[in-house]
Amino acid sequence: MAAITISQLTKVFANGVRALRDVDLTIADGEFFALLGPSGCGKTTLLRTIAGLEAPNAGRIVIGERDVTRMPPGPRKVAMVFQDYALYPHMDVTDNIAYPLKIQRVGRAARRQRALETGSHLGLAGMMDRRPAQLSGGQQQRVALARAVASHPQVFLFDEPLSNLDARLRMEARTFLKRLHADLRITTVYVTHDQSEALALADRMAVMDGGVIRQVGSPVEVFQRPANLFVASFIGSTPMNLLDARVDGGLVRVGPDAASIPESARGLVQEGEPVVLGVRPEYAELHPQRVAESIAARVVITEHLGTAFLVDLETAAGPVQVVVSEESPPDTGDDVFVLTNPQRSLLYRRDTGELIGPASSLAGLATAAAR
Amino acid sequence: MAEGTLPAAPPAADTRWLVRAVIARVQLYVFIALVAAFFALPMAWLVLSPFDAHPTLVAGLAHPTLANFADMFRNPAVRGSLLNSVLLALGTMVVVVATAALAAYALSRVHVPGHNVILYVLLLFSSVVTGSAAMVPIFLLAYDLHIINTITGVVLVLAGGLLPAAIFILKDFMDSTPASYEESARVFGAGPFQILRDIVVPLVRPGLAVIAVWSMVTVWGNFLTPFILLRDPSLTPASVQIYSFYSAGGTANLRLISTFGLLYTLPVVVMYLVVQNRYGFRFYGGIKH
Ligand SMILES: Nc1ncnc2c1ncn2[C@@H]1O[C@H](COP(=O)(O)OP(=O)(O)OP(=O)(O)O)[C@@H](O)[C@H]1O
Ligand SMILES: [Mg+2]
Repeated sequence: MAAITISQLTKVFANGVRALRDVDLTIADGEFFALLGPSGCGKTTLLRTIAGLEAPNAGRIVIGERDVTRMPPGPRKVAMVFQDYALYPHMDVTDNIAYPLKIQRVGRAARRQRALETGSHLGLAGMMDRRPAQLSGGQQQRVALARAVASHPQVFLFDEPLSNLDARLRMEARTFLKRLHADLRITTVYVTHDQSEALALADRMAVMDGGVIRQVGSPVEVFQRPANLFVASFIGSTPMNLLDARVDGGLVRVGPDAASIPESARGLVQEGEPVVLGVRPEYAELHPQRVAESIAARVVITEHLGTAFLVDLETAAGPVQVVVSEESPPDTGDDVFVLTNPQRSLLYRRDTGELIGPASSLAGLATAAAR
Repeated sequence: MAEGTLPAAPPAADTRWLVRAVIARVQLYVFIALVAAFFALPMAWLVLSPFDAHPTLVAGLAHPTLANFADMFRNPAVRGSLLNSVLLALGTMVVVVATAALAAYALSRVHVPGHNVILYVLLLFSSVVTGSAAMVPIFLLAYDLHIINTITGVVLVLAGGLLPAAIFILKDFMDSTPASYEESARVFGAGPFQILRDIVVPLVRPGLAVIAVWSMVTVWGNFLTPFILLRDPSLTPASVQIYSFYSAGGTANLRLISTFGLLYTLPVVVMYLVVQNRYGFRFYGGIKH
């Protein structure tokens, strides 16, 4: 059980790639923390640096009370689950789970006993003497988890542990991980590039890009109020609409049309300031007639999402997507008007790309969670 | 190669075509039979002659007997030479496998600049080391190191010649074991030797087996190095001993040579079969689940 404090962490690889730039991060004791970001942004590197498999060029890592920056991996007392699980093909499940204990010099009988306990806890009781090659992907993943659990670490480090599973198994494993974390309450850092995983599992999450952390917050905060244009365009099952706009009177002008200023940005912008209006497709409405402060659009295509329709629109300011309910899908070629919800829409400064207004969600909004 | 594969010919030319095909086929079989006989006859001689009381240069079993074996084992030089061969082969094998495993592991994991060049140059020179060209300097070196006329000296020289190729083959096996296996062990706190023993060695075991058998077989058959470095007849290995089975007049003692030849060949065949059965001969890495 330990908190992780990372300060000013920088990692430059021998080939000159700056994989981490001045990363500051605090992960609380017992927290389930997700690291999210596009491919190549440095998630794995951050995780491996915490584990001690990579030495940072600058900065400090503290786990619990101990500065582990220059410590080899073993004494850091972390357990890592690799994307390929790294199960030893020449050992059976028992020996795989017991291997950390063997290194810790636990006696053979005690080791087998503990491997069996952990294995049964994770639903592996019937397959303790199989080799990894004789297990399904989901079972292999549980063996890797069991091995991590059996080593009694202070911290779990997961590098995309579910990415090798098919969609259904992934859902099961997700629930499983959540339960395991609820049981053990071990500080967990979880790397993923699947945002639904991060949203579903994490207490808090960080969004990374190019070796930099772009936002840290609860999944609700990150989903509701992305702190900058990068996070805004990255988070969400359908990407947020980002429209170039300009502050004009009490409105934001979008091409020839206008929308109301998002509530959280009121009083914080200057007349004529160039901004970007952010509207989630889920938080906009379509109207057949012009209503006050709406944006004229034409329907290009309609996609069925199962429980709703995703409507692709063309406006004078560029393409816009809106999710509408099942009953009222418009036809292709219809002229419609997009009404934004000022409580849910966001405003970004066009020069810096930063969110205008408070970073965390306003009271009341948070309850309408993205989960 | 059955009739089905013969292209259809026009009916008029049918018979002529068929005759030509049959003749071609007959010629092929005759040729194969000759080649097979060329290789099989010595084998037959090797297997049959030891059991013949009066072996000649003709393969056959005119007077079946086991006396040849009894005679041979009564000859102390024969027993000693087989034992010496075993010592040489095992000793060299242990040195080669242990050293090559460590070296290949290091070369595979630590990136020394230009390590491939080093390896290729070593590989090139290794054939020189055990070849006849280097025998004089090697003799002088062994003499100055006071390892002349010792089993140790021969083991070291032979191991030196085998090591580059052994490292080369093993490095490939080591390269193809995923780094995540070792990294996960490291995160659990394993040290380098623990990782080598628990993870790497079991994973490259087929490679180690190939290296072990290959070095034993090579040493078993090597004549020149022990012939030059060993003076004491009690140290002579089988590969050198076999040249002493001539009568004073210079004629070959076929009873002794054939019997000894069979015994001398058997370990190689057995080792090959064992490794082939357990691992299959592979000279490249890769995890077989
Ligand atoms: N050993 C290495 N040597 C040199 N560059 C590396 C090394 N490992 C990673 N990099 C580079 O560092 C950057 C970050 O890599 P990293 O593996 O941390 O990305 P990631 O966020 O985990 O991506 P993914 O989602 O694809 O796994 C990338 O540009 C990558 O090419
Ligand atoms: Mg990665």
